[in-house]
Amino acid sequence: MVVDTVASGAVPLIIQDLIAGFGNVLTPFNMFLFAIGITLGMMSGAIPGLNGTMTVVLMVPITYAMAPDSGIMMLAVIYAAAVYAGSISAILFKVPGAPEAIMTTLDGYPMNQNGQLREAISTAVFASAFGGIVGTLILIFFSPLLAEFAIQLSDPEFFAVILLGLALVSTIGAGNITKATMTMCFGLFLGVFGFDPLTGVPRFTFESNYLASGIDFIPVILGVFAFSEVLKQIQSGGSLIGGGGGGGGGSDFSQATSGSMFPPLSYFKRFGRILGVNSVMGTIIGVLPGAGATTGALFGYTFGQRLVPKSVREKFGSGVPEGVAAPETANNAAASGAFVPLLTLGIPGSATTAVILAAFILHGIRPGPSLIDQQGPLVYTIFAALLLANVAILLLNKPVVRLFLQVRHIPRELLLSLIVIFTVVGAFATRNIMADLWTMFIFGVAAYYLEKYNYSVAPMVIGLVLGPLAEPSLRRSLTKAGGDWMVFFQRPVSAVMITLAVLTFFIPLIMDSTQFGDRIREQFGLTELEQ
Amino acid sequence: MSDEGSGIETLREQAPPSVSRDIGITVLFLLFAVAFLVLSEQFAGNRISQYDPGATIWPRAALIVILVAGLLNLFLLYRRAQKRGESVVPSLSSEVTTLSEKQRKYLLAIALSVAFFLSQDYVGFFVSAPIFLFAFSYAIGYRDMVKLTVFSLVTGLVVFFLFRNVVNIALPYGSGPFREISIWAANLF
Repeated sequence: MVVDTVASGAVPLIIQDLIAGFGNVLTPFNMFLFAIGITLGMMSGAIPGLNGTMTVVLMVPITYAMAPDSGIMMLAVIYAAAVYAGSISAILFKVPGAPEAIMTTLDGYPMNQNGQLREAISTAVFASAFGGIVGTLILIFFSPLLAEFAIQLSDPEFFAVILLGLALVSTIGAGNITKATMTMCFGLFLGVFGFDPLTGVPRFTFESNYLASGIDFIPVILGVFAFSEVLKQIQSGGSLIGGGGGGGGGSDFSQATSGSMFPPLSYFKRFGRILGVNSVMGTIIGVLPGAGATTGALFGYTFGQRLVPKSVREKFGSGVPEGVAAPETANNAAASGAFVPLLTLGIPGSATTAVILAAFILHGIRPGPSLIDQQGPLVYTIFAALLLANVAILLLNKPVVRLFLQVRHIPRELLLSLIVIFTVVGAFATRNIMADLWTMFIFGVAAYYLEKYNYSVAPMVIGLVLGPLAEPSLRRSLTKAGGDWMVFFQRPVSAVMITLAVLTFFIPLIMDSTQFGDRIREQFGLTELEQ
Repeated sequence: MSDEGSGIETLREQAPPSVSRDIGITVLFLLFAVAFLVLSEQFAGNRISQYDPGATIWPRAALIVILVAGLLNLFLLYRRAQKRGESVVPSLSSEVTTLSEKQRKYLLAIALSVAFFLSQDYVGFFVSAPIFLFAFSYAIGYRDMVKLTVFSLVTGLVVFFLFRNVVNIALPYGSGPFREISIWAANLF
């Protein structure tokens, strides 16, 4: 039984195969490809408009001329590096380099604004590497076990997980739960434009070809986070980079140019619980087909809020390192977890792993339950490369921080115009549709005003990302169950998830909107948050 | 330059966030939800089987939650206004004042962005991007003309070639002679 992989004494064999995998990665040619993969991944993650999926797509034809282990290894490294690097532009400019970095903007950018840019990037690097390493180790030792777990999950569980995610989103707007719920449901509704996923009927398209293809979330993300921030900075006269703005040479910078290659060891102590829980939970979420690193980051952020002391929890969203460590640990772990269904079931766990699946097929290899037995050297080369990629991210901490701190020297006005150009390119590049520019613009202006009146916009984006995943699961569940809604409570995992979702959503809502909540707050000395 | 600026008259000064404007935003959400709930009737009968709840269940669920949360928010805002002694009705007696320098920059940034988006179909990215970078940076306050010119030209070219020749994404070429210029530039490398 595959379930007994660890218990049956297969561990020495796994380690032996892993050492062989390292040996394969460390050949000169593969190391060259590894370096290219890290560089391309970091560039594609950090530059708005590019992303890991796009870069992997572009590199697939090039791998055709290579041996499968070299080519697919490089694609896996690009993926791992891109997930990490998405946080860089999220912290620097409030532009998530990739959707999985959305949650990192919530605290990473405020940290930058508070003059803690170096600490924010350093935390992101450390948490990303830790999440990635733990996720890869889980992938190596527990793939068969996780695959059995994943194969038992069906639409009700998948819908329940997303519902729990949506309920958790409402807590992002703590103190403004009604507003967060409105924006989240608005995002969910935006996801229904276009063709119905089951019947193919056009919904709310108003005979427009653009609306028929649906509202893509990339232009919305760029508008809501980046363009609105540019408008805010122009209106307020503030600076994108905190602690001296365009001047450079602050204390952050001098710290970044000295000291160890590694982030401080105190990070282990400070983020211990977040690192432990989120790396495991992130991997499990990554295992769910279709969920991917974005969902992992969402769960990671909200789990993180519950794992820290109350004094830190209350500061989430205003720029605390825990708010960066939590999503970054989870999204990198989820990126590793997404390889589990790919390698063991032949089902991609995310958009990028779907492209990597295409690369496997291009090389005449079909992933599935027998892949590890039949293609051991290839699989363990990928595992070794993923581990090394995360170690490389950790080692690159200091030069990366130093490199990105140079942005401080760019005058504010030039930086703002540069961001507008990248948001335009990013919005256009996804589908090559001009109307996406207008979508970006409209959502940017709207987000500017919504934020001004404390309507949290992150739930809207997350609703738009999760909505199209939730609806087909809900309807397929009901169709298979003969229309019986109890299907969600007859399966233990979905029953627990849905109960948690209901509690997570309604308790803060009741607390937020009733006199009972006011009394509880008074009793426990909690001040009413400004709405 | 002064932030007080000499600006355009007849525009109302932006008020600090007020309950009445907050209520206005919530009402917009409510109107949106009601309008689309009515529109969702168009495809109410579409389902893949008798057990499929249909193409309307998900959008309607989202819209109904918007309605409920919106109404609850109105109640909370009303309660807050009562506590603070604020009026929930928008004041019509706002003073007509001049725009501040920052507000002028903000409006100019929006106008330039709109012009840049509109120009893509006609002028294309290759020609319009350096012009936009120059105009936008100048409009929001950058005044070193030499650096600005170099920055605009170099950035526009680098972004165009990076996406066109390295990542294989063709940014808009425009039409007529501008299209010819863009194609010529793309073929340079």
